[in-house]
Amino acid sequence: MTLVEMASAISQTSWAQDIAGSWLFPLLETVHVFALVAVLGAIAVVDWRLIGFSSRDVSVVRLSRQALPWTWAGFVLAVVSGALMFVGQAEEYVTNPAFQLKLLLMALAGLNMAAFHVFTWKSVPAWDTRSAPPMAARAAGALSLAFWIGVVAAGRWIAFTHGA
Amino acid sequence: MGHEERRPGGDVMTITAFVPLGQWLGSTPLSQAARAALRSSSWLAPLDETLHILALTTLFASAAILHLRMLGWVGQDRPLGPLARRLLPLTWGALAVLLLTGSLLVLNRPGRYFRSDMFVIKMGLVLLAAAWTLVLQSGFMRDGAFWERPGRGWAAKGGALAALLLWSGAIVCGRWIAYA
Repeated sequence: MTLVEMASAISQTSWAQDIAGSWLFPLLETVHVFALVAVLGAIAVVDWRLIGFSSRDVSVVRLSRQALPWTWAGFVLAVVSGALMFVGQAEEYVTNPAFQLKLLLMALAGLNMAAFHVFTWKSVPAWDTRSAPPMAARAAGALSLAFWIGVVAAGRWIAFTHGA
Repeated sequence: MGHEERRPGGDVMTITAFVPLGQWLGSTPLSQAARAALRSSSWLAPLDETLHILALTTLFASAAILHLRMLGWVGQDRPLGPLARRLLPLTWGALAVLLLTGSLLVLNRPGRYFRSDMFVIKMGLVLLAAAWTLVLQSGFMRDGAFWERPGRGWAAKGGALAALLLWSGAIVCGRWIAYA
């Protein structure tokens, strides 16, 4: 079974069709917007701090700790609401280039975050309270912002490349 | 907001007071320019909507941080005055981008938007939230600790909660314009 066949099978189930054609869909979209605000808002606060642009007088560790619950709560909510919107038209989505790009950018954002935590985060005690973090941290912050803005843009482009 | 009427075949109330405004806007050169610009480009609409979402994120996140701090739910380790001085310009800047990017979409089809209950309600909520933000800011400008002075606790907390609900309501209505 190929990915497209699998997607097609999912989208033809009765519960997937129920979501696609009812008030549940705009409700899911609304939840997705709120989740996006939480994820992007929390991530941006930390990213701008890493870049050395804002909250320069605040400890990086402390700020990250405050932002983390919002990031994960928002992310889980975004994934669940996104997955439920996906199933109704799974076949269209998996073949949609903007959707594919969105997933790719999310994977890159994840890799960037993982690399930052494995390598750069080790030395955080040395620059925790410095207003300008080291180059590696600034680069991670800038990349993260770029990837997530790309995720939003690609997400918005999905609706305009439907059936393309 | 004007008289209400029943939509044929449905029991949804419709606000009609702004329908003439929508019709008039549709006949202006500005609306024609917006239509022409959006017709001639395949990327202008998604770009405009992307900027709208990014500005929405900036506005809501900056307002939420400030108002949750006022409610005593986050960031108690940082003083309120300086936080407000940093966040309020972000809120206003984001609101300006939202109005600008939103205008392009409205000017493209003014009749449709000004006939939509959800759009009219959304704009009402935005107006109220912006008015509160102005009150909030004038307090901070007079005195960094204005909203923390004795006797103002309820006004600060009540206003913060109301503002969060108003902005949230605007987001919900905005999303439902396409469906109602």
